[in-house]
Amino acid sequence: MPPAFDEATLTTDIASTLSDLFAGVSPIRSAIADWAAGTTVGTGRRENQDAWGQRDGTFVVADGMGGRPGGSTAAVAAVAAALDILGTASTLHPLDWAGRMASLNDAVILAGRRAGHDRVGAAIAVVRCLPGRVVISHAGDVRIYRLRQGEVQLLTRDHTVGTEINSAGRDLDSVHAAIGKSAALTSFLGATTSWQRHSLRVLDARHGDRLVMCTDGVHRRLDRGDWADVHDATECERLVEVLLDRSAAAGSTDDRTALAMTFGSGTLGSAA
Amino acid sequence: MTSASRSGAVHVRVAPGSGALLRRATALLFVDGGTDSRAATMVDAFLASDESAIVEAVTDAVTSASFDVAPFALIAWNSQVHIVVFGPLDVRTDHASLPMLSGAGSTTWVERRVRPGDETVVVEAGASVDPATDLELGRVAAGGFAATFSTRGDASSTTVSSIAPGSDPRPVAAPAPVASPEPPTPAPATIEPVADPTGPVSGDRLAALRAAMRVHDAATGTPDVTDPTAADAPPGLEPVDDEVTLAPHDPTPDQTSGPPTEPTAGHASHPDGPDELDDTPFVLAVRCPRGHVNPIHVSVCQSCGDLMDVGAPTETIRQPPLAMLELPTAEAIAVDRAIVIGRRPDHEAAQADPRAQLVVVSDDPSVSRTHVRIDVEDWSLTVTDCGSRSGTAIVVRPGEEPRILEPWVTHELPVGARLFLGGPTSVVIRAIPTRRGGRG
Repeated sequence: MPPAFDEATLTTDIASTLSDLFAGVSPIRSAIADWAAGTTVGTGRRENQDAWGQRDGTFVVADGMGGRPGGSTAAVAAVAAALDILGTASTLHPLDWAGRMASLNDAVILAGRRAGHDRVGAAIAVVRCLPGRVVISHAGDVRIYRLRQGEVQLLTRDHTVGTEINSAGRDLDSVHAAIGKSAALTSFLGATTSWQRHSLRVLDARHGDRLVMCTDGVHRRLDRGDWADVHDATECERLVEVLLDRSAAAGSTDDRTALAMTFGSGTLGSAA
Repeated sequence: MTSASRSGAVHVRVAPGSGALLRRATALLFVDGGTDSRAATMVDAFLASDESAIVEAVTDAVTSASFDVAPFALIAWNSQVHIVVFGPLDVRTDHASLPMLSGAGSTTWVERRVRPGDETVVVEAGASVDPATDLELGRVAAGGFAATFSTRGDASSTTVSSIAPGSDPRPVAAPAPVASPEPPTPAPATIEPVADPTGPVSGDRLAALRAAMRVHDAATGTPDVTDPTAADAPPGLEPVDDEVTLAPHDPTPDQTSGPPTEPTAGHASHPDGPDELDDTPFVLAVRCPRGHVNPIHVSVCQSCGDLMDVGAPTETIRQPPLAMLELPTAEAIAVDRAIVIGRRPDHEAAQADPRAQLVVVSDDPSVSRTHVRIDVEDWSLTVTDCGSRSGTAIVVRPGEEPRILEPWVTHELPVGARLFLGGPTSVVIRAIPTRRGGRG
C-alpha cells in the first residue's frame, strides 16, 4: 500500500493511548538469546558493498547497489543512520516510521555526496525488537526469514521488477524477455522517492524463533536443501557460517552477508 | 455442516438448459453449461463422496483441478443451507441475510451459510425454472434451478434415500432440451463409466432412478418424463439418450431475467470473469508428493503433513487461498486476496486494492464502516486496522491476552488468530482443510 496516511484518519484516543503505551519503551535486550553476523566480499571485488550493524535490539543489514558507484559508502551510511534513527523510534505509526525512513534516505544521499558520488543506493532490512514482538521493515531485496519449529518462512517480499510483475498476475518470463532487468530494485535508499515503497510489519516473537537477515549474494544461491540443513545449526554463529559457505559453494560471486538471531531469555552474543 | 438433520421438505425445480443439475439426499450441484471434463471434476466428486462430506469433496476436487472447472453452484443442507459458488454464476435467495452470492471476480469459490429457521427459503440460480418440475434424486440437464427449503413436513421429500458412493444416479431419458443453446458434449473417454455422468444410460439405471424423480404437471398435462411409458416424446421434442431434460413450458430460457451483476457485499465482481484479464498474483510454490501446494521452504506439507521432497521442483502458480475467514454468522470466505471488513466497507477508506473483497460483518455500532483490512502477500496474511473508531484487538492464540493493533500498522495474521472488531464482534482465521492445486 502506498504510504498515503493522514492524521485525520486516526482517532485521537487510540493514538494517545498508543503514545502512552510506547512511551519509555526500551529494547528487549534480554529477549535475544543469541545472535551472530558475518559478511564477506564477493569474488574479484575490491570492496564489500554489504554492511550490517546492531544496537540495543535493533539489527540492520544493507546492500549497496552495485550498479552505482559508492555502494559501500551507501551501505555503511544506511546501517549507521538506521541504528540512530530507527533504533529510537517510539511509535510505529506509519507517519512516524515513514518520516524516519525519509531521514534515513537523506543520510544516505548526504553520505554519498560527501564521498563525491552524486548517485548512490542501498537496499536495507531492519529488525527492531520490542517487548513481546518484533518489527521488521525493508526496502529492496535484503530478505528476512523466520525459522520456527523446523520450518523456514520468508517474511519479506523483494521490491524488484520481477516481484512487481508477479504481483500483477503477469507472466514473468514473457515480460522479462521483453523488458529485462527483472532483478532491478523498485525500492531502495539513495533516491528522492524510491524509499517510499518500504514495508513495515509487526511480528509476534515466540520463544525459540530465529530470524535470518541476508543479502542477495546469499539468498539467490540457496536452494531448498540448503535451507533444510540450516535447521541443524543450533547456534547463530554456525547458522551464519552455513549460509555464507553454502552460497559460496553454489557459485555466488556477490558480496555475502547474513545475520541471525534467536529469541529467548539470554544475553547478546558477538559477531562471527 | 452440522451433524443435526434439517427436517422438512426440499423441492428442487428445474430450468431447461444445457448444464447439469444433480441431486442427492442433502445436496444439489448445478454446473452451468458444463457437460465436459471441466464439469466431470465436480460431478464425480459430488457422486462419490459420503453424504456428510459432499462440500469438502467437491471443493477438494476443484482445487485438485487447479480451479480449471466449469462455473457451478453447490447447495448442501442440514440444519443450515450451505451455498458454494464458483465462477461467473449468481445464486439468489429470498433470505434476508443473503440476497445474492456471486462467484464472479473471485479466483476461488465463495461460500455462505443460511439459517432458514422457521421460514421457507428459496435458493435459485440460472434461468427461470419450470414450476411443474421437482427433482428428488438424480441428474438432469438444466439451465438453472430453484430449491425451496421448508420446515413443514412433506412425505415425498423426507423419504428420499441417500445415494451410496459410486452409485449412478442418472435418471431416465426425456425429451430433448429444445431451448439448449448447445448440445450436450459427451464426457471424455478417460472417465470411468460408473463415474461418467454424461455417458449413455442403461435401462437398469433408468428404472432405479425413475422413482426418484417426479414431474408434477397436473395443470398443463405435460407427460411425466420419468415414466418409461412416456418414451414417445411430445411433438417437436427430440429424445436424447444421455441426458434428461424436463420438457419446458417455455422452451426459451429466460435470459433477460437473470440476476444483477453488481457486486454483492462481501465479493467484488470482475466484469470480465475470472478467465479473462486474470490479474491474480503469481507465487512460487512446491508440491508435496500428494500434490498439495506449499511455500517453497517448508519441510512438511501444510495440508497433509507428509514430508516434502527436498528435490521437488518449484513452480509458479496463481495465488492460492491461504485460509478461511470465518464471520460471526459462521459463514466462511476463502482468503486469496485482500479483504476489507466493516459495517459498510469501502476500498478507498481502507486504502485497499480495488480487487479487494468487501465483507459486511455486523450492524454492531462498535464496528466501524471500514474497520480492518486483511492482505495477502505471497504465503503470508497481514491485518491492518483502518483507523477504526473502537480499535481492533488480535488474539493470536487461544488463551492469550488480546493485543490492540496500532491504527494503520500492518500486523502479521497467523492462522488461528481471532480479531475483535471494537467489541464483541469477532472474525477468525481458520486453516484450509486441504490445499491442492493452484493455478499455473
